[in-house]
Amino acid sequence: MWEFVAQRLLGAAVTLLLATVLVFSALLLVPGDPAQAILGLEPNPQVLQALRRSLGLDRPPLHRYAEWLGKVVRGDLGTSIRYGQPVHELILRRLGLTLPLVFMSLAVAVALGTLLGSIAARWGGTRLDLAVSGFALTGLVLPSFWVGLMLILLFSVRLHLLPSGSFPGWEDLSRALSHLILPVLTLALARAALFTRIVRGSLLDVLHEDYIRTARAKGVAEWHVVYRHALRNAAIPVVTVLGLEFAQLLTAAVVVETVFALPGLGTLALTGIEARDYRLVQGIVLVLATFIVLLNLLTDLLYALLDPRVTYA
Amino acid sequence: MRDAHRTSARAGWRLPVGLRVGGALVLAVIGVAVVGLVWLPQHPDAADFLQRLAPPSPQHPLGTDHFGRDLLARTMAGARNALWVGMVAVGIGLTLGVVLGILAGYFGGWMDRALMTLLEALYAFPAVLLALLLSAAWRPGATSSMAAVGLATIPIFARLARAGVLAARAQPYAEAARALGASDARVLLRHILPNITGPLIIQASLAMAAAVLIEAALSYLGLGTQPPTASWGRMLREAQSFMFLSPYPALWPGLGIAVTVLGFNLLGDGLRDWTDPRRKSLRPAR
Repeated sequence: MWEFVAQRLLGAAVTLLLATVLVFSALLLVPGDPAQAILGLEPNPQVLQALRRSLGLDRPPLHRYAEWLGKVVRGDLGTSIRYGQPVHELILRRLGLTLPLVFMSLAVAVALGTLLGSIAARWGGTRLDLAVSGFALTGLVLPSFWVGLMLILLFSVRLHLLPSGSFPGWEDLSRALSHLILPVLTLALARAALFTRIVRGSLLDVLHEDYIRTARAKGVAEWHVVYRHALRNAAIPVVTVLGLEFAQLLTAAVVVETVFALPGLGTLALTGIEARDYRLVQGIVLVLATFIVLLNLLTDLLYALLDPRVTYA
Repeated sequence: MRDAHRTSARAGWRLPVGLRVGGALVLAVIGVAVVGLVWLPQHPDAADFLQRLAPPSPQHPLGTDHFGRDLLARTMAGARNALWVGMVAVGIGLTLGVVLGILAGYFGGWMDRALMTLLEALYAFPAVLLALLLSAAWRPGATSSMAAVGLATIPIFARLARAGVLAARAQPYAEAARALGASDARVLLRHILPNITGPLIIQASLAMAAAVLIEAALSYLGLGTQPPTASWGRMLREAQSFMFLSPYPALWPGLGIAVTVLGFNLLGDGLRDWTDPRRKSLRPAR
Protein backbone atom coordinates (compact mmCIF):
# COMPACT_ATOMS: atom_id res chain seq x y z
CA MET A 1 0.00 0.00 0.00
CA TRP A 2 2.61 2.56 1.07
CA GLU A 3 4.75 1.57 -1.84
CA PHE A 4 1.83 2.33 -4.15
CA VAL A 5 1.26 5.71 -2.50
CA ALA A 6 4.92 6.61 -2.76
CA GLN A 7 4.99 5.53 -6.38
CA ARG A 8 1.95 7.65 -7.24
CA LEU A 9 3.36 10.67 -5.39
CA LEU A 10 6.62 10.39 -7.29
CA GLY A 11 4.72 10.01 -10.55
CA ALA A 12 2.66 13.13 -9.85
CA ALA A 13 5.81 15.08 -9.00
CA VAL A 14 7.43 14.10 -12.30
CA THR A 15 4.24 14.99 -14.17
CA LEU A 16 4.14 18.40 -12.52
CA LEU A 17 7.77 19.04 -13.39
CA LEU A 18 7.11 18.14 -17.03
CA ALA A 19 4.05 20.39 -16.95
CA THR A 20 6.22 23.35 -15.95
CA VAL A 21 8.60 22.53 -18.81
CA LEU A 22 5.68 22.52 -21.24
CA VAL A 23 4.22 25.78 -19.95
CA PHE A 24 7.61 27.44 -19.99
CA SER A 25 8.63 26.22 -23.43
CA ALA A 26 5.37 27.47 -24.95
CA LEU A 27 6.84 30.93 -24.38
CA LEU A 28 9.64 30.15 -26.78
CA LEU A 29 6.89 30.27 -29.44
CA VAL A 30 6.26 33.95 -28.80
CA PRO A 31 7.11 35.66 -32.09
CA GLY A 32 10.20 37.75 -31.54
CA ASP A 33 10.34 37.55 -27.78
CA PRO A 34 8.23 38.57 -24.79
CA ALA A 35 9.92 41.96 -24.61
CA GLN A 36 8.80 42.72 -28.14
CA ALA A 37 5.34 41.42 -27.35
CA ILE A 38 5.14 43.83 -24.42
CA LEU A 39 6.42 46.86 -26.29
CA GLY A 40 4.45 46.21 -29.48
CA LEU A 41 5.50 47.05 -33.02
CA GLU A 42 8.72 48.92 -33.74
CA PRO A 43 9.94 49.56 -30.23
CA ASN A 44 12.84 51.86 -29.40
CA PRO A 45 15.91 49.57 -29.64
CA GLN A 46 17.43 50.90 -26.41
CA VAL A 47 14.22 50.42 -24.46
CA LEU A 48 13.91 46.95 -25.96
CA GLN A 49 17.45 46.05 -24.87
CA ALA A 50 16.81 47.37 -21.37
CA LEU A 51 13.56 45.46 -21.04
CA ARG A 52 15.21 42.30 -22.34
CA ARG A 53 17.88 42.62 -19.69
CA SER A 54 15.39 43.32 -16.91
CA LEU A 55 13.30 40.32 -18.01
CA GLY A 56 16.44 38.23 -18.15
CA LEU A 57 15.94 37.42 -21.82
CA ASP A 58 19.64 37.92 -22.55
CA ARG A 59 20.38 34.66 -20.75
CA PRO A 60 19.99 31.12 -22.13
CA PRO A 61 16.52 29.49 -21.88
CA LEU A 62 17.65 26.75 -19.50
CA HIS A 63 18.96 29.33 -17.07
CA ARG A 64 15.72 31.30 -17.34
CA TYR A 65 13.68 28.15 -16.79
CA ALA A 66 15.59 27.27 -13.62
CA GLU A 67 15.11 30.76 -12.26
CA TRP A 68 11.41 30.82 -13.21
CA LEU A 69 10.84 27.39 -11.66
CA GLY A 70 12.52 28.54 -8.44
CA LYS A 71 10.02 31.38 -8.21
CA VAL A 72 7.04 29.22 -9.19
CA VAL A 73 7.84 26.73 -6.45
CA ARG A 74 7.69 29.60 -3.96
CA GLY A 75 4.29 30.63 -5.39
CA ASP A 76 5.60 33.63 -7.31
CA LEU A 77 4.17 33.58 -10.84
CA GLY A 78 5.50 36.99 -11.82
CA THR A 79 3.66 40.24 -12.41
CA SER A 80 0.78 40.62 -14.79
CA ILE A 81 1.55 42.91 -17.71
CA ARG A 82 -2.08 43.95 -18.07
CA TYR A 83 -2.97 44.49 -14.41
CA GLY A 84 0.45 45.32 -12.94
CA GLN A 85 -0.35 43.03 -10.01
CA PRO A 86 1.22 39.75 -8.92
CA VAL A 87 -0.27 36.95 -11.04
CA HIS A 88 -0.81 34.63 -8.08
CA GLU A 89 -2.97 37.27 -6.32
CA LEU A 90 -5.15 37.70 -9.41
CA ILE A 91 -5.51 33.94 -9.73
CA LEU A 92 -6.36 33.42 -6.06
CA ARG A 93 -9.10 36.03 -6.23
CA ARG A 94 -10.69 34.46 -9.33
CA LEU A 95 -10.35 30.93 -7.95
CA GLY A 96 -12.83 32.05 -5.29
CA LEU A 97 -15.46 31.87 -7.99
CA THR A 98 -14.20 29.18 -10.36
CA LEU A 99 -13.58 26.49 -7.74
CA PRO A 100 -17.02 26.75 -6.07
CA LEU A 101 -18.58 26.76 -9.53
CA VAL A 102 -16.73 23.60 -10.53
CA PHE A 103 -17.31 21.73 -7.28
CA MET A 104 -21.02 22.59 -7.20
CA SER A 105 -21.34 21.40 -10.77
CA LEU A 106 -19.48 18.19 -9.98
CA ALA A 107 -21.78 17.53 -7.01
CA VAL A 108 -24.91 18.18 -9.05
CA ALA A 109 -23.61 16.04 -11.91
CA VAL A 110 -22.73 13.08 -9.66
CA ALA A 111 -26.08 13.25 -7.83
CA LEU A 112 -28.11 13.58 -11.01
CA GLY A 113 -26.08 10.96 -12.86
CA THR A 114 -26.31 8.41 -10.04
CA LEU A 115 -30.06 8.92 -9.74
CA LEU A 116 -30.79 8.72 -13.45
CA GLY A 117 -28.28 5.95 -14.08
CA SER A 118 -29.69 3.74 -11.34
CA ILE A 119 -33.24 4.37 -12.58
CA ALA A 120 -32.21 3.40 -16.10
CA ALA A 121 -30.43 0.25 -14.92
CA ARG A 122 -33.19 -0.79 -12.51
CA TRP A 123 -35.70 -0.65 -15.34
CA GLY A 124 -33.17 -1.66 -17.99
CA GLY A 125 -34.54 -2.23 -21.48
CA THR A 126 -37.82 -0.45 -20.79
CA ARG A 127 -39.05 2.83 -22.25
CA LEU A 128 -37.91 4.61 -19.10
CA ASP A 129 -34.37 3.34 -19.72
CA LEU A 130 -34.60 4.52 -23.32
CA ALA A 131 -35.77 7.97 -22.22
CA VAL A 132 -32.98 8.36 -19.67
CA SER A 133 -30.36 7.05 -22.11
CA GLY A 134 -31.70 9.44 -24.71
CA PHE A 135 -31.34 12.33 -22.30
CA ALA A 136 -27.80 11.23 -21.50
CA LEU A 137 -26.85 11.15 -25.16
CA THR A 138 -28.39 14.58 -25.76
CA GLY A 139 -26.50 16.02 -22.81
CA LEU A 140 -23.23 14.69 -24.23
CA VAL A 141 -23.59 16.06 -27.73
CA LEU A 142 -24.90 19.55 -27.03
CA PRO A 143 -22.17 22.15 -26.69
CA SER A 144 -22.20 23.62 -23.17
CA PHE A 145 -22.23 27.20 -24.39
CA TRP A 146 -25.29 26.53 -26.53
CA VAL A 147 -27.08 24.97 -23.56
CA GLY A 148 -26.12 28.03 -21.53
CA LEU A 149 -27.54 30.36 -24.16
CA MET A 150 -30.78 28.41 -24.30
CA LEU A 151 -31.08 28.44 -20.50
CA ILE A 152 -30.59 32.21 -20.53
CA LEU A 153 -33.20 32.52 -23.25
CA LEU A 154 -35.68 30.44 -21.27
CA PHE A 155 -35.14 31.38 -17.62
CA SER A 156 -33.91 34.97 -17.96
CA VAL A 157 -35.44 36.39 -21.09
CA ARG A 158 -38.77 34.58 -21.26
CA LEU A 159 -39.56 33.70 -17.65
CA HIS A 160 -37.57 36.45 -15.86
CA LEU A 161 -36.78 33.94 -13.12
CA LEU A 162 -33.00 34.04 -12.90
CA PRO A 163 -30.24 36.52 -13.74
CA SER A 164 -28.63 36.01 -17.16
CA GLY A 165 -25.09 36.58 -16.01
CA SER A 166 -22.47 38.55 -14.05
CA PHE A 167 -21.61 37.91 -10.43
CA PRO A 168 -22.40 40.17 -7.47
CA GLY A 169 -19.83 38.67 -5.08
CA TRP A 170 -20.19 36.37 -2.10
CA GLU A 171 -21.33 39.03 0.43
CA ASP A 172 -24.99 38.30 -0.25
CA LEU A 173 -25.00 34.52 -0.37
CA SER A 174 -28.52 33.91 -1.70
CA ARG A 175 -28.04 36.52 -4.40
CA ALA A 176 -24.68 35.00 -5.33
CA LEU A 177 -26.21 31.53 -5.56
CA SER A 178 -29.06 32.77 -7.73
CA HIS A 179 -26.43 34.01 -10.17
CA LEU A 180 -24.76 30.60 -10.15
CA ILE A 181 -27.81 28.37 -10.71
CA LEU A 182 -27.78 28.60 -14.50
CA PRO A 183 -23.98 28.30 -14.87
CA VAL A 184 -23.94 25.27 -12.55
CA LEU A 185 -26.80 23.66 -14.47
CA THR A 186 -25.06 24.31 -17.76
CA LEU A 187 -21.79 22.83 -16.55
CA ALA A 188 -23.42 19.90 -14.76
CA LEU A 189 -25.60 18.78 -17.65
CA ALA A 190 -22.93 17.26 -19.88
CA ARG A 191 -21.12 15.66 -16.92
CA ALA A 192 -24.40 14.32 -15.51
CA ALA A 193 -25.05 12.74 -18.88
CA LEU A 194 -21.71 10.98 -18.73
CA PHE A 195 -22.20 9.82 -15.13
CA THR A 196 -25.65 8.51 -16.05
CA ARG A 197 -24.10 6.35 -18.75
CA ILE A 198 -21.31 5.13 -16.48
CA VAL A 199 -23.61 4.34 -13.54
CA ARG A 200 -26.10 2.63 -15.83
CA GLY A 201 -23.43 0.57 -17.54
CA SER A 202 -21.63 -0.51 -14.40
CA LEU A 203 -24.90 -1.23 -12.56
CA LEU A 204 -26.02 -3.43 -15.42
CA ASP A 205 -22.70 -5.28 -15.21
CA VAL A 206 -22.95 -5.67 -11.44
CA LEU A 207 -26.59 -6.80 -11.55
CA HIS A 208 -25.38 -9.90 -13.39
CA GLU A 209 -23.12 -10.93 -10.50
CA ASP A 210 -23.79 -13.93 -8.32
CA TYR A 211 -24.10 -12.02 -5.07
CA ILE A 212 -26.97 -10.03 -6.54
CA ARG A 213 -28.74 -13.22 -7.49
CA THR A 214 -28.14 -14.45 -3.94
CA ALA A 215 -29.60 -11.27 -2.50
CA ARG A 216 -32.64 -11.58 -4.74
CA ALA A 217 -33.02 -15.25 -3.83
CA LYS A 218 -33.01 -14.29 -0.18
CA GLY A 219 -36.01 -12.13 -0.94
CA VAL A 220 -34.33 -8.73 -0.55
CA ALA A 221 -36.48 -5.93 -1.95
CA GLU A 222 -35.45 -4.80 -5.43
CA TRP A 223 -34.65 -1.20 -4.49
CA HIS A 224 -32.53 -2.53 -1.64
CA VAL A 225 -30.69 -4.78 -4.06
CA VAL A 226 -30.00 -1.87 -6.40
CA TYR A 227 -29.09 0.77 -3.84
CA ARG A 228 -27.41 -1.23 -1.06
CA HIS A 229 -25.81 -4.15 -2.85
CA ALA A 230 -25.19 -3.12 -6.41
CA LEU A 231 -24.64 0.63 -6.39
CA ARG A 232 -21.83 0.34 -3.87
CA ASN A 233 -19.74 -1.68 -6.28
CA ALA A 234 -21.02 0.11 -9.30
CA ALA A 235 -19.69 3.35 -7.77
CA ILE A 236 -16.09 2.36 -8.40
CA PRO A 237 -16.05 3.34 -12.10
CA VAL A 238 -17.59 6.67 -11.10
CA VAL A 239 -14.76 7.33 -8.65
CA THR A 240 -12.16 6.43 -11.24
CA VAL A 241 -13.39 9.09 -13.64
CA LEU A 242 -13.85 11.82 -11.00
CA GLY A 243 -10.39 13.23 -11.58
CA LEU A 244 -10.87 13.23 -15.32
CA GLU A 245 -14.30 14.81 -14.94
CA PHE A 246 -12.86 17.52 -12.73
CA ALA A 247 -10.43 18.37 -15.50
CA GLN A 248 -13.28 18.49 -17.99
CA LEU A 249 -15.29 20.77 -15.72
CA LEU A 250 -12.36 23.13 -15.15
CA THR A 251 -11.92 23.67 -18.86
CA ALA A 252 -15.65 23.77 -19.55
CA ALA A 253 -15.85 26.45 -16.87
CA VAL A 254 -13.66 28.66 -19.07
CA VAL A 255 -16.39 28.55 -21.69
CA VAL A 256 -19.38 28.79 -19.35
CA GLU A 257 -17.86 31.72 -17.46
CA THR A 258 -17.76 33.54 -20.78
CA VAL A 259 -21.40 32.72 -21.56
CA PHE A 260 -22.56 34.08 -18.20
CA ALA A 261 -19.94 36.86 -17.95
CA LEU A 262 -18.64 35.49 -14.65
CA PRO A 263 -15.35 36.92 -13.36
CA GLY A 264 -13.58 33.57 -12.97
CA LEU A 265 -10.22 32.16 -14.01
CA GLY A 266 -11.40 31.44 -17.54
CA THR A 267 -12.50 34.96 -18.31
CA LEU A 268 -9.26 36.19 -16.70
CA ALA A 269 -7.27 33.98 -19.09
CA LEU A 270 -9.18 35.34 -22.08
CA THR A 271 -8.55 38.91 -20.96
CA GLY A 272 -4.90 37.94 -20.68
CA ILE A 273 -4.84 36.62 -24.23
CA GLU A 274 -6.47 39.77 -25.60
CA ALA A 275 -3.95 41.93 -23.75
CA ARG A 276 -1.06 39.69 -24.85
CA ASP A 277 -0.33 39.18 -21.17
CA TYR A 278 1.50 35.88 -21.59
CA ARG A 279 2.65 35.77 -17.97
CA LEU A 280 -0.91 35.86 -16.69
CA VAL A 281 -2.05 33.13 -19.09
CA GLN A 282 1.01 31.05 -18.30
CA GLY A 283 0.25 31.29 -14.58
CA ILE A 284 -3.41 30.35 -15.05
CA VAL A 285 -2.62 27.38 -17.27
CA LEU A 286 -0.01 26.14 -14.80
CA VAL A 287 -2.40 26.46 -11.86
CA LEU A 288 -5.18 24.62 -13.71
CA ALA A 289 -2.82 21.86 -14.84
CA THR A 290 -1.58 21.49 -11.25
CA PHE A 291 -5.16 21.08 -10.04
CA ILE A 292 -5.73 18.40 -12.65
CA VAL A 293 -2.59 16.47 -11.70
CA LEU A 294 -3.43 16.64 -7.99
CA LEU A 295 -7.03 15.56 -8.54
CA ASN A 296 -5.87 12.63 -10.66
CA LEU A 297 -3.48 11.65 -7.88
CA LEU A 298 -6.29 11.86 -5.34
CA THR A 299 -8.51 9.74 -7.57
CA ASP A 300 -5.86 7.04 -7.87
CA LEU A 301 -5.37 6.91 -4.13
CA LEU A 302 -9.10 6.90 -3.46
CA TYR A 303 -9.56 4.11 -5.98
CA ALA A 304 -6.99 1.94 -4.24
CA LEU A 305 -8.67 2.63 -0.92
CA LEU A 306 -12.15 1.80 -2.21
CA ASP A 307 -11.46 -1.32 -4.16
CA PRO A 308 -9.47 -3.88 -2.19
CA ARG A 309 -8.98 -5.87 -5.37
CA VAL A 310 -6.66 -3.23 -6.84
CA THR A 311 -3.16 -4.58 -6.95
CA TYR A 312 -0.54 -1.99 -6.33
CA ALA A 313 1.63 -2.94 -9.24
CA MET B 1 -27.67 -9.58 -59.42
CA ARG B 2 -31.03 -9.28 -57.80
CA ASP B 3 -30.12 -11.83 -55.16
CA ALA B 4 -26.87 -10.10 -54.38
CA HIS B 5 -28.79 -6.89 -53.87
CA ARG B 6 -31.24 -8.54 -51.54
CA THR B 7 -28.50 -10.14 -49.46
CA SER B 8 -26.61 -6.93 -49.02
CA ALA B 9 -29.79 -5.11 -48.05
CA ARG B 10 -30.58 -7.73 -45.44
CA ALA B 11 -27.04 -7.61 -44.09
CA GLY B 12 -27.41 -3.84 -43.85
CA TRP B 13 -30.50 -4.17 -41.71
CA ARG B 14 -28.66 -6.34 -39.27
CA LEU B 15 -26.41 -3.43 -38.27
CA PRO B 16 -27.32 -1.99 -34.87
CA VAL B 17 -29.61 1.05 -34.84
CA GLY B 18 -26.99 3.35 -33.33
CA LEU B 19 -24.48 2.47 -36.00
CA ARG B 20 -26.99 3.07 -38.80
CA VAL B 21 -28.21 6.38 -37.36
CA GLY B 22 -24.67 7.54 -36.63
CA GLY B 23 -23.48 6.59 -40.08
CA ALA B 24 -26.42 8.38 -41.69
CA LEU B 25 -25.84 11.57 -39.67
CA VAL B 26 -22.12 11.58 -40.45
CA LEU B 27 -22.82 11.01 -44.13
CA ALA B 28 -25.38 13.84 -44.07
CA VAL B 29 -22.91 16.28 -42.54
CA ILE B 30 -20.17 15.21 -44.96
CA GLY B 31 -22.68 15.57 -47.79
CA VAL B 32 -23.58 19.11 -46.74
CA ALA B 33 -19.90 20.00 -46.44
CA VAL B 34 -19.03 18.53 -49.85
CA VAL B 35 -21.97 20.27 -51.53
CA GLY B 36 -20.80 23.44 -49.80
CA LEU B 37 -17.44 23.08 -51.50
CA VAL B 38 -18.95 23.44 -54.96
CA TRP B 39 -22.23 25.20 -54.35
CA LEU B 40 -23.59 27.54 -51.71
CA PRO B 41 -26.95 29.34 -52.07
CA GLN B 42 -25.12 32.63 -51.60
CA HIS B 43 -21.68 33.81 -50.61
CA PRO B 44 -21.51 33.14 -46.88
CA ASP B 45 -20.10 36.62 -46.23
CA ALA B 46 -22.50 38.54 -48.50
CA ALA B 47 -24.44 40.98 -46.32
CA ASP B 48 -28.01 41.97 -47.12
CA PHE B 49 -28.47 44.97 -44.83
CA LEU B 50 -32.14 45.35 -45.68
CA GLN B 51 -32.87 41.90 -44.28
CA ARG B 52 -31.08 41.65 -40.98
CA LEU B 53 -32.12 38.99 -38.46
CA ALA B 54 -34.87 37.92 -40.85
CA PRO B 55 -36.87 34.76 -40.17
CA PRO B 56 -36.78 31.94 -42.77
CA SER B 57 -38.14 33.01 -46.17
CA PRO B 58 -37.93 31.66 -49.73
CA GLN B 59 -34.98 33.97 -50.34
CA HIS B 60 -33.18 32.93 -47.15
CA PRO B 61 -34.48 29.44 -46.23
CA LEU B 62 -32.94 29.50 -42.74
CA GLY B 63 -33.15 33.27 -42.15
CA THR B 64 -30.34 35.80 -41.85
CA ASP B 65 -27.93 36.97 -39.14
CA HIS B 66 -27.31 40.47 -37.77
CA PHE B 67 -25.46 41.51 -40.92
CA GLY B 68 -28.16 40.06 -43.14
CA ARG B 69 -25.88 37.17 -44.12
CA ASP B 70 -27.67 34.05 -45.33
CA LEU B 71 -27.79 31.49 -42.51
CA LEU B 72 -28.10 28.50 -44.85
CA ALA B 73 -24.91 29.46 -46.66
CA ARG B 74 -23.12 30.14 -43.38
CA THR B 75 -24.30 26.94 -41.72
CA MET B 76 -23.17 24.95 -44.77
CA ALA B 77 -19.80 26.70 -44.78
CA GLY B 78 -19.63 25.99 -41.04
CA ALA B 79 -20.04 22.26 -41.67
CA ARG B 80 -17.08 22.38 -44.02
CA ASN B 81 -15.02 24.23 -41.46
CA ALA B 82 -15.99 21.90 -38.60
CA LEU B 83 -15.09 18.75 -40.53
CA TRP B 84 -11.85 20.22 -41.83
CA VAL B 85 -10.68 21.42 -38.42
CA GLY B 86 -11.76 18.16 -36.79
CA MET B 87 -10.00 16.04 -39.40
CA VAL B 88 -6.73 17.94 -39.12
CA ALA B 89 -6.84 17.83 -35.31
CA VAL B 90 -7.66 14.12 -35.17
CA GLY B 91 -5.06 13.50 -37.88
CA ILE B 92 -2.38 15.14 -35.73
CA GLY B 93 -3.45 13.21 -32.63
CA LEU B 94 -3.78 9.92 -34.48
CA THR B 95 -0.47 10.12 -36.32
CA LEU B 96 1.67 11.28 -33.42
CA GLY B 97 -0.21 9.13 -30.92
CA VAL B 98 0.13 5.95 -32.95
CA VAL B 99 3.81 6.54 -33.65
CA LEU B 100 4.58 7.19 -29.98
CA GLY B 101 2.37 4.35 -28.79
CA ILE B 102 3.95 1.86 -31.18
CA LEU B 103 7.45 2.93 -30.23
CA ALA B 104 6.62 2.58 -26.54
CA GLY B 105 4.85 -0.75 -26.93
CA TYR B 106 7.22 -2.40 -29.37
CA PHE B 107 10.54 -1.41 -27.89
CA GLY B 108 9.46 -1.28 -24.24
CA GLY B 109 12.05 -0.68 -21.54
CA TRP B 110 13.28 2.83 -20.91
CA MET B 111 11.68 4.18 -24.08
CA ASP B 112 8.31 2.92 -22.95
CA ARG B 113 8.72 4.48 -19.52
CA ALA B 114 9.97 7.82 -20.88
CA LEU B 115 7.23 8.14 -23.50
CA MET B 116 4.47 7.16 -21.10
CA THR B 117 5.68 9.67 -18.51
CA LEU B 118 5.67 12.35 -21.18
CA LEU B 119 2.15 11.44 -22.25
CA GLU B 120 1.03 11.40 -18.64
CA ALA B 121 2.17 15.02 -18.37
CA LEU B 122 0.38 15.93 -21.59
CA TYR B 123 -2.75 14.38 -20.11
CA ALA B 124 -2.81 17.16 -17.52
CA PHE B 125 -3.45 19.64 -20.33
CA PRO B 126 -6.93 19.37 -21.82
CA ALA B 127 -7.36 20.95 -25.25
CA VAL B 128 -8.75 24.20 -23.88
CA LEU B 129 -5.68 24.72 -21.67
CA LEU B 130 -3.34 24.03 -24.58
CA ALA B 131 -5.37 26.42 -26.73
CA LEU B 132 -5.07 29.15 -24.07
CA LEU B 133 -1.32 28.57 -23.90
CA LEU B 134 -0.80 28.54 -27.67
CA SER B 135 -3.04 31.57 -28.16
CA ALA B 136 -1.14 33.57 -25.56
CA ALA B 137 2.29 32.55 -26.78
CA TRP B 138 1.60 32.61 -30.47
CA ARG B 139 -1.78 33.89 -31.56
CA PRO B 140 -5.40 32.77 -31.46
CA GLY B 141 -6.67 31.14 -34.64
CA ALA B 142 -7.64 27.96 -36.41
CA THR B 143 -4.04 26.73 -36.51
CA SER B 144 -3.58 27.13 -32.76
CA SER B 145 -6.88 25.46 -31.98
CA MET B 146 -6.24 22.55 -34.35
CA ALA B 147 -2.80 22.05 -32.85
CA ALA B 148 -4.22 22.24 -29.32
CA VAL B 149 -6.98 19.72 -29.96
CA GLY B 150 -4.55 17.46 -31.84
CA LEU B 151 -1.94 17.53 -29.09
CA ALA B 152 -4.56 16.86 -26.43
CA THR B 153 -5.74 13.79 -28.36
CA ILE B 154 -2.27 12.20 -28.59
CA PRO B 155 -2.34 10.35 -25.22
CA ILE B 156 -5.58 8.50 -26.01
CA PHE B 157 -4.31 7.18 -29.34
CA ALA B 158 -0.89 6.44 -27.91
CA ARG B 159 -2.32 4.32 -25.10
CA LEU B 160 -4.56 2.48 -27.50
CA ALA B 161 -1.72 1.79 -29.95
CA ARG B 162 0.62 0.75 -27.15
CA ALA B 163 -1.90 -1.69 -25.70
CA GLY B 164 -2.56 -3.10 -29.16
CA VAL B 165 1.12 -3.56 -29.87
CA LEU B 166 1.72 -5.24 -26.51
CA ALA B 167 -1.10 -7.66 -27.24
CA ALA B 168 -0.06 -8.26 -30.84
CA ARG B 169 3.64 -8.63 -30.04
CA ALA B 170 2.91 -11.64 -27.88
CA GLN B 171 1.01 -13.36 -30.71
CA PRO B 172 2.66 -16.25 -32.53
CA TYR B 173 2.42 -14.51 -35.93
CA ALA B 174 4.59 -11.60 -34.77
CA GLU B 175 7.12 -14.00 -33.30
CA ALA B 176 7.07 -16.10 -36.45
CA ALA B 177 7.68 -13.04 -38.62
CA ARG B 178 10.63 -12.08 -36.46
CA ALA B 179 11.97 -15.63 -36.52
CA LEU B 180 11.87 -15.49 -40.31
CA GLY B 181 14.23 -12.53 -40.14
CA ALA B 182 11.78 -9.67 -40.69
CA SER B 183 13.02 -6.29 -39.53
CA ASP B 184 11.36 -4.35 -36.67
CA ALA B 185 9.84 -1.92 -39.15
CA ARG B 186 8.39 -4.74 -41.25
CA VAL B 187 6.91 -6.55 -38.28
CA LEU B 188 5.36 -3.30 -37.09
CA LEU B 189 3.96 -2.13 -40.39
CA ARG B 190 2.92 -5.42 -41.96
CA HIS B 191 1.98 -7.57 -39.01
CA ILE B 192 1.09 -5.41 -36.03
CA LEU B 193 -0.39 -2.19 -37.41
CA PRO B 194 -3.16 -3.91 -39.41
CA ASN B 195 -4.27 -5.64 -36.22
CA ILE B 196 -4.79 -2.46 -34.25
CA THR B 197 -6.54 -0.40 -36.93
CA GLY B 198 -10.03 -1.43 -35.77
CA PRO B 199 -9.84 0.14 -32.30
CA LEU B 200 -8.03 3.13 -33.80
CA ILE B 201 -10.82 3.80 -36.30
CA ILE B 202 -13.40 3.59 -33.52
CA GLN B 203 -11.38 5.95 -31.37
CA ALA B 204 -10.89 8.31 -34.32
CA SER B 205 -14.66 8.58 -34.71
CA LEU B 206 -15.10 9.39 -31.01
CA ALA B 207 -12.17 11.82 -31.13
CA MET B 208 -13.75 13.51 -34.14
CA ALA B 209 -16.91 14.15 -32.09
CA ALA B 210 -14.85 15.61 -29.27
CA ALA B 211 -12.75 17.68 -31.67
CA VAL B 212 -15.80 19.26 -33.33
CA LEU B 213 -17.25 20.09 -29.92
CA ILE B 214 -14.01 21.59 -28.59
CA GLU B 215 -13.28 23.52 -31.75
CA ALA B 216 -16.75 25.05 -31.58
CA ALA B 217 -16.11 26.03 -27.96
CA LEU B 218 -12.73 27.55 -28.86
CA SER B 219 -14.22 29.49 -31.77
CA TYR B 220 -16.97 30.67 -29.44
CA LEU B 221 -14.26 31.96 -27.08
CA GLY B 222 -12.53 33.70 -29.98
CA LEU B 223 -9.54 31.33 -29.82
CA GLY B 224 -10.44 29.24 -32.86
CA THR B 225 -11.48 30.05 -36.40
CA GLN B 226 -11.35 33.79 -36.91
CA PRO B 227 -13.94 35.95 -38.71
CA PRO B 228 -15.05 36.30 -41.40
CA THR B 229 -14.67 32.52 -41.94
CA ALA B 230 -17.97 30.94 -41.00
CA SER B 231 -17.63 28.53 -38.07
CA TRP B 232 -20.44 27.24 -35.91
CA GLY B 233 -18.81 28.33 -32.64
CA ARG B 234 -18.13 31.82 -33.96
CA MET B 235 -21.69 32.08 -35.31
CA LEU B 236 -23.04 31.26 -31.86
CA ARG B 237 -20.86 33.92 -30.26
CA GLU B 238 -22.16 36.53 -32.65
CA ALA B 239 -25.72 35.29 -32.26
CA GLN B 240 -25.59 35.67 -28.49
CA SER B 241 -26.02 39.46 -28.54
CA PHE B 242 -29.03 39.24 -30.84
CA MET B 243 -30.60 36.13 -29.35
CA PHE B 244 -33.45 38.17 -27.92
CA LEU B 245 -34.35 39.56 -31.34
CA SER B 246 -34.10 36.38 -33.40
CA PRO B 247 -33.41 32.79 -32.31
CA TYR B 248 -32.40 31.57 -35.78
CA PRO B 249 -28.75 32.69 -35.82
CA ALA B 250 -28.20 30.66 -32.62
CA LEU B 251 -30.41 27.75 -33.61
CA TRP B 252 -28.77 26.41 -36.80
CA PRO B 253 -25.11 26.35 -35.73
CA GLY B 254 -26.17 24.73 -32.42
CA LEU B 255 -28.10 22.12 -34.35
CA GLY B 256 -25.17 21.59 -36.71
CA ILE B 257 -22.77 20.95 -33.83
CA ALA B 258 -25.22 18.62 -32.09
CA VAL B 259 -25.91 16.57 -35.24
CA THR B 260 -22.22 16.24 -36.10
CA VAL B 261 -21.16 15.31 -32.58
CA LEU B 262 -24.08 12.90 -32.17
CA GLY B 263 -23.28 11.29 -35.52
CA PHE B 264 -19.60 10.64 -34.78
CA ASN B 265 -20.39 9.48 -31.22
CA LEU B 266 -23.03 7.01 -32.38
CA LEU B 267 -20.78 5.83 -35.18
CA GLY B 268 -17.86 5.22 -32.81
CA ASP B 269 -19.99 3.58 -30.11
CA GLY B 270 -21.87 1.54 -32.70
CA LEU B 271 -18.67 0.27 -34.32
CA ARG B 272 -17.29 -0.69 -30.93
CA ASP B 273 -20.40 -2.59 -29.90
CA TRP B 274 -20.67 -4.20 -33.29
CA THR B 275 -17.09 -5.44 -33.31
CA ASP B 276 -17.00 -6.44 -29.64
CA PRO B 277 -18.45 -9.93 -29.26
CA ARG B 278 -18.47 -9.70 -25.46
CA ARG B 279 -21.16 -7.04 -25.37
CA LYS B 280 -24.52 -8.71 -25.61
CA SER B 281 -27.90 -7.88 -24.18
CA LEU B 282 -28.13 -4.83 -21.96
CA ARG B 283 -31.09 -6.20 -20.06
CA PRO B 284 -30.35 -7.13 -16.46
CA ALA B 285 -30.58 -10.81 -15.65
CA ARG B 286 -33.62 -11.86 -13.75
